[in-house]
Amino acid sequence: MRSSLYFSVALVVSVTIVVGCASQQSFVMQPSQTPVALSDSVETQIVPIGHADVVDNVQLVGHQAACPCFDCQSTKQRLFSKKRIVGRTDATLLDSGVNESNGLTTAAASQFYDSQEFLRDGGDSGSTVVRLTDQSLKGLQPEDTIVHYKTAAGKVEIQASNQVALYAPRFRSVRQVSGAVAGGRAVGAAQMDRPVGTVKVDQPLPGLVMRDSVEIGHADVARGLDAMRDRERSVPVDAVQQVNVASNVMAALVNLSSQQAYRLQGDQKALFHQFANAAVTYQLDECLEVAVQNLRIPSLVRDQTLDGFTIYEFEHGHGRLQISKFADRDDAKPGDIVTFGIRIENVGDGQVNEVVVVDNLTTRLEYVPDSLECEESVDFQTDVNEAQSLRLQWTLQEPLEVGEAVTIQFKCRVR
Amino acid sequence: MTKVSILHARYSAGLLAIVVLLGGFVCGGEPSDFLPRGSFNPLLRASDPPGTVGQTRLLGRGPVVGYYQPVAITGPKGVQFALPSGNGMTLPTERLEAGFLIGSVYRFHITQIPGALGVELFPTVEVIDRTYPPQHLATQYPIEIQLDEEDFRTAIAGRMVTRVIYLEDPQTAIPVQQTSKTNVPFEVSQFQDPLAVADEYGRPVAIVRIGSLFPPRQKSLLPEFFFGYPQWAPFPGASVASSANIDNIPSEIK
Repeated sequence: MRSSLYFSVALVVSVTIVVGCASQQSFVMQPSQTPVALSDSVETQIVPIGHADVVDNVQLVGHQAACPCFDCQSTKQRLFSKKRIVGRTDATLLDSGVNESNGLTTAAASQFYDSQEFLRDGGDSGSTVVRLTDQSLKGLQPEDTIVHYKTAAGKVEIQASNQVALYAPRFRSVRQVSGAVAGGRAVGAAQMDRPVGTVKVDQPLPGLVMRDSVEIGHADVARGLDAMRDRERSVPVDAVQQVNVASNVMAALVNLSSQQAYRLQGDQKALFHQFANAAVTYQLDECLEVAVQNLRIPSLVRDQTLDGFTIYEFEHGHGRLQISKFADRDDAKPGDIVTFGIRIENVGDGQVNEVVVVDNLTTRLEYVPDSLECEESVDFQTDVNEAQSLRLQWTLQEPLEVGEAVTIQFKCRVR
Repeated sequence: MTKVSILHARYSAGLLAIVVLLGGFVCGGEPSDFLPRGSFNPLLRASDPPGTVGQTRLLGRGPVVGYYQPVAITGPKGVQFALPSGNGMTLPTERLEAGFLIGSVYRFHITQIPGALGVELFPTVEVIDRTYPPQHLATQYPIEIQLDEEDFRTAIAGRMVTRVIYLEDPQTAIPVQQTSKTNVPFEVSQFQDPLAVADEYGRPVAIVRIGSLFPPRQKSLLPEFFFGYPQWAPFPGASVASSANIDNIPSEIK
């Protein structure tokens, strides 16, 4: 502990001397991009949708001012929305340009996504996969891709791959047929008695307009708002009792402060004071603070503390596999072929045995027969899974030495 | 069952599930059989007036206001679709592609119906939700609306066809490759709400209503018939050439 503190302080001192001058400039924050004002050149680069063949030789700005059509108005709105659209082509207008006309930017829309539009494969979703004593796997969900192996020490390990997401939305529909033929009802008067002649002319007679009236068979009367009583009187507060331990709040805070991780204790304080006199540079997030040797800084403010400290201990000779999965495309339509690749690499300190890679395909992925490619000799096995797809399993015939890697490629058709 | 059993074992269970599912929908029953499962009544139904569901969606969360959702409408081979544009209609095409505002109701024109040449239909499409594609993929993955001859035959017979298009949940997707032949709709009873059924299998995104309503003869009533001619956006590179007059509007309404 003491040696590391010596080293760190010495390193900071050396860095101080080297970057002392340069640190003066680091305080001046240069904007990464200066705001670009809309210019005429911006307007002339925009072609409204659908007007390329109509207003081929017409000045766009003047045409927009006069033309009330939707294309020109949307383009004009796009200009007034002060979005930087320099360099966009027609192919991106509906994707981003037109939809910016009402303030909807692609950046704003990209914050939202629907997982139902993506086809995911890989990882270990849901319950964690475990291997039972009979070599079978439990908790393997559709989409999961894992590798399980045995280390030289005889320990069984399971490692999940990363998740590959394809944008592949699929639409279906629900149809309902209805109409007057099936459930229609005509309402009319069966008969009507109306006096003829001058009989009873002094009595009021009903009109000729017939209206259907529906009587209420049963009504449940519920109390409305008139049943509520407004309470405007104040609530007495004299009965509120104070907390008995309120006087000890400061003491509690002091105790909390003393428990912070960065507090120096014991002999560390002496060491800190000893080396603090030797001109130390304290680096913050955005700037460098420089102190000159033999001049103590009047105050030291640190706004960062250690949030966590993790120690990784690896056993000697312990093999570890890293599995990664990738696809050759980011989006696919039904019927498209996607090539998946699974790469397994031994990044540990010892060889691993009984390496088995399992890819449980999701419902909408169909394995293309005879599409497997692998440079190593593997035993390939397929089983129908609960998602009505296939569970692919590769078993390496040879142990995987340190640093060795195996890449498996196969193709799937998107359903 | 005999037919199912001779199919490949990989698809047998999936197809059986589809047959059972469709059989459940096709078979009739008492109206009480189709009561809502929960102890509630849905606020929105597919039978609401056109535009109600979509306008309600605009009050929800997410960037839906002012977004032009790409939509592609297709039908059997030879069927032509067109949209109102200017004083007339766009040139008929077998695949109608356009960006529709969410909440607006668009009435389009169907001609060249197989087995009913000369008959024209004017159904409506209402986009009630949007998709969230990665950048520059919006027009490549529009909402696919595939109409079939059953829709047209039913509408010509005087009945009303309501189709609710939904985004399928990949976790519960049907394990069959989607083609024009396998993309058949779920049939629901008239006592069921297709919007609620679609909501169970995914996220409803559009409602198509196909009837036999014909444009009014008076021109002054056309805006009401076409729901105010809401704005739409053509796909990039698509030709939006339309007739300068109403030549391709049926002669009865000229």
